[in-house]
Amino acid sequence: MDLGPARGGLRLEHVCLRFGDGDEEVNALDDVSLEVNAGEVVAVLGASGSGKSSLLAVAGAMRQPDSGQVFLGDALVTDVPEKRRNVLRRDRVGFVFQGSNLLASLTALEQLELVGRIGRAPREATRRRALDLLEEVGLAAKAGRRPAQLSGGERQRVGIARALMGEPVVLLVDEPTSALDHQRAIDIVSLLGVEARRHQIATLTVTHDRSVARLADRVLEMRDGRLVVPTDASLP
Amino acid sequence: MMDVTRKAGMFVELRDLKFAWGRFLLMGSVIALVTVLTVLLTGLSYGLVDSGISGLRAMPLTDLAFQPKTSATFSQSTLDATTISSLNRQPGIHAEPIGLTFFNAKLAGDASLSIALVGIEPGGFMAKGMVGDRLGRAPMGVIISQGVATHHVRVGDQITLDRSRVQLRVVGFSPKATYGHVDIVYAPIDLWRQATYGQVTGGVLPRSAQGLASAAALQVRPGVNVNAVGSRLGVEIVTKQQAYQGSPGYVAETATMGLIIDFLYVIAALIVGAFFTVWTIQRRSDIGLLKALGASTTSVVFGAIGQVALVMLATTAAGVLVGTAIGSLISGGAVPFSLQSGAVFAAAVILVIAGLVGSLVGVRRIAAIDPIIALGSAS
Repeated sequence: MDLGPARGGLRLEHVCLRFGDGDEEVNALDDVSLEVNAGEVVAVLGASGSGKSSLLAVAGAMRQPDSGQVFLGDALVTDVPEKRRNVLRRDRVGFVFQGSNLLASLTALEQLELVGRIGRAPREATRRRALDLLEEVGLAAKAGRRPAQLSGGERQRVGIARALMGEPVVLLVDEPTSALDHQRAIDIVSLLGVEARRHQIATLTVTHDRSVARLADRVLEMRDGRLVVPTDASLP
Repeated sequence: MMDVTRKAGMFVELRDLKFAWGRFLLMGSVIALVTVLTVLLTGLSYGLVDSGISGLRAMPLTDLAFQPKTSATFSQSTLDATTISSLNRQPGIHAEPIGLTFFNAKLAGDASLSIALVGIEPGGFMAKGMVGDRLGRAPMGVIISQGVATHHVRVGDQITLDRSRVQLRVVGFSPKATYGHVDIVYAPIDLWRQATYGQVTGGVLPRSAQGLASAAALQVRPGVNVNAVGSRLGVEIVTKQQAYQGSPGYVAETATMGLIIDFLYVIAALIVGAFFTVWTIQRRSDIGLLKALGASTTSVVFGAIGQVALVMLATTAAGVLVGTAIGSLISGGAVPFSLQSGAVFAAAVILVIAGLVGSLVGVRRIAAIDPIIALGSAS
């Protein structure tokens, strides 16, 4: 499926998402509107259960919102068939998951090549790009190592390189510093910022770590499904 | 042909096979053992079939006529000469008497042996097709099949039948042939009558038994309505294959072996189904990740099925090799064992299919895995 050239940016307009929790109905996202421009890094703070992951799921075309619209670049991802959403996610979104979420059986290089395989890109070009990206995140020498042979910070770097493999217009980052010590967390978030600006990718990071949120261009906060601008006092 | 390795799922699952080789080896060993058992049972099944009907199968006939309501069983059926002559006069049918009786025989040195004495017309189509013109030349002369010859019986030796005390003289050998798990001895039909109906008269053929036979061997031209002929002449005509059912124990043995082999197919399906269900549950987060990265459910499912197919093909092939090796050691011994490449191949194919069907239980779960589980806190 050819989606044509993509223009950068992520846009959510009046997005609402509700789901049942026992007998109760929870407003995971309550009239959320957000725009992240190409090359911009936006951090969303929030406590557990505030709706951060729901925000990523909707922005990453994993969940259809109950109402509102989501744009990945110039492509509307709401109210489209699941198959097309998969293709949009594959071609326009890069994910950096919590705890890196690498496949145990694949080497660092193969983690990146996998993205090329999913996108049916030519093998040689895929390998070249994968090696370039590993070089970019400082792991070219460890391309042949499996996740168990890498440190937590290295695994997260592989995760970042993998997210960049598909040349996404939007980078969605889920708790990138969990399980990392403070210095490594700062390094990883710094690297994310560098890569987002270098590749002109709109980057949305959700985190509960206020110290790393400072490194973003903009900081927002989720409270009970609503996206708000935090007061200065609540920032580190 | 589609390059399956281009599928993202197969890309991962080929590497999973290498990475988790211990787990797959364990499961594969069980499948290989099931395959070995299936190959051995298939060989045993065919060996039993051979032992039951190889003599009948080798006979140059298309059909057999039996006395009605005797279930194509030689020991229950008797036809007279008039009936057999009437059959022979039918257009498109060539009929000859055939007798078959089981005896306990005494060999030289007081060794005893069970034999199936088959009486045929010397110079008839049956004799020509099985023993040539060697029958009926010497008084009391019989041709023994190779199975009897293994008991150190030589040409010129005497074989004494119990009850009738008829003494047979070996005049030649024929290829191995058995009926009802007993080696066949070919005799002229008159000698067979003497042995069979002279049991209570000390080997003297009663007048009433003259011209009798167990059945009629038929060579029927295609297109002849044998049922109509049978009804008209008061006989039950069955094909050679249908006559196998009359061999002692044939139906029970083939049904038992078939049931055991069918159970092995079910066991193989259950083993693979259980393994891949657990494997899929363990890979749930990986599959969620693949979907989150944009892999379609179809490609992930095909990858999983491809993985099962590879494991099944490799382990079944290994099982066939080991089973065939063990089978070749067993073959030719006391155990009735006969490896047929077609049957072994068919069993292997069914095992692979059974494994694939079993794996669908696990593979089915893949379709239901939501990519959102890749987001840690949302899982």
